Amino acid sequence: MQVGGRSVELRPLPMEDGTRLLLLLLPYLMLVDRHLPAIRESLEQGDRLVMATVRAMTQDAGSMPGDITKLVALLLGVRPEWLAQAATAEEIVRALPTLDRYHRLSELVVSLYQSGVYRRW
Amino acid sequence: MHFLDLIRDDQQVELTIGETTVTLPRARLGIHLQLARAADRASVALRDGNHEEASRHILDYLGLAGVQTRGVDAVCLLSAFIRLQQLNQLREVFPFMLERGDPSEERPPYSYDGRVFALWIHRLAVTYGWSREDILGLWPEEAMAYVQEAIVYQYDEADRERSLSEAGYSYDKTTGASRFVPVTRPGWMVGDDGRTPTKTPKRMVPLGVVVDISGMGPADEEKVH
Repeated sequence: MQVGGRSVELRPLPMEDGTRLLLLLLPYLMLVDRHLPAIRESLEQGDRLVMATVRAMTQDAGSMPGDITKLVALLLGVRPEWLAQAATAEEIVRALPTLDRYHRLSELVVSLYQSGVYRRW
Repeated sequence: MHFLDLIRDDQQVELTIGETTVTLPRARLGIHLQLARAADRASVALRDGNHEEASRHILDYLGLAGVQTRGVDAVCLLSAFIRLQQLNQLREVFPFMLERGDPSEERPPYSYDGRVFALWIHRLAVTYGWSREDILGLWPEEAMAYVQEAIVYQYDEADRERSLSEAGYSYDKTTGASRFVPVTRPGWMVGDDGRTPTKTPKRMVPLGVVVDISGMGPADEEKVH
């Protein structure tokens, strides 16, 4: 896919990066709790989960840009510093559905919510 | 949850790993204990932000559960890890498991990490005569239920034996009646279980010196001979 003016080939994420991604996601899972109705509504309209979450959390997303950039950089396999400088916010948000589909992020988030195991971490 | 639901044979989860869909069974006691240890270690490493160690324990967990991890995206594996944890978590906490030891009490010199599991296996083997393989093949909750029954039985037996001796009765001078004094039970066992203690009639209580023929009693050979 095209990000920051260059072509990036998506690859399976190694487990160490997976755990980094998990730790980035966890605080937001707690935050998302009160946005679940809005997220469900967005999902029913056909949005993918991550996109739906970003849309529903616009009001609370003040601290998100840094973490979202790190998260997207992990999924793309690029350095977050490079991504922050080279890519526009729009490009990053546009990349989310593709990354979601490739890495099956929705499945991870649904599994985390259904199990509640993240509360132990 | 009803005990019979805890020991159903069809406990499993369907997972999509990479391009393949696999059905994995719930772990029996032996694997369950190993999974629980790997999950705990992963959880501690995650809390410490030690990604290398966390990922090693998560991959260990998945390997033990029968997941092929080579070349598969971590996000997919993490989803599998979470769903397997959900499948394999204990569905029932038995009263005896809630008993807390005295934290100020030092562990005996022969103790070691994970001894409690060896103790469970030992107790089931001694009580029912099962082999280690039989025990490790039980559903986790099933094993714990039997361990609890074995402990309760041990106390019931101690009471029964005690009821056969005059030492088990206390004489109340004011009422002129004797009252059976049961052995002291742990907190989780205290409460009315609806049973009335059976009193052994005095004429049926053994008289004279009681000889311990088990070979495990105190060294009182002189008294016996």
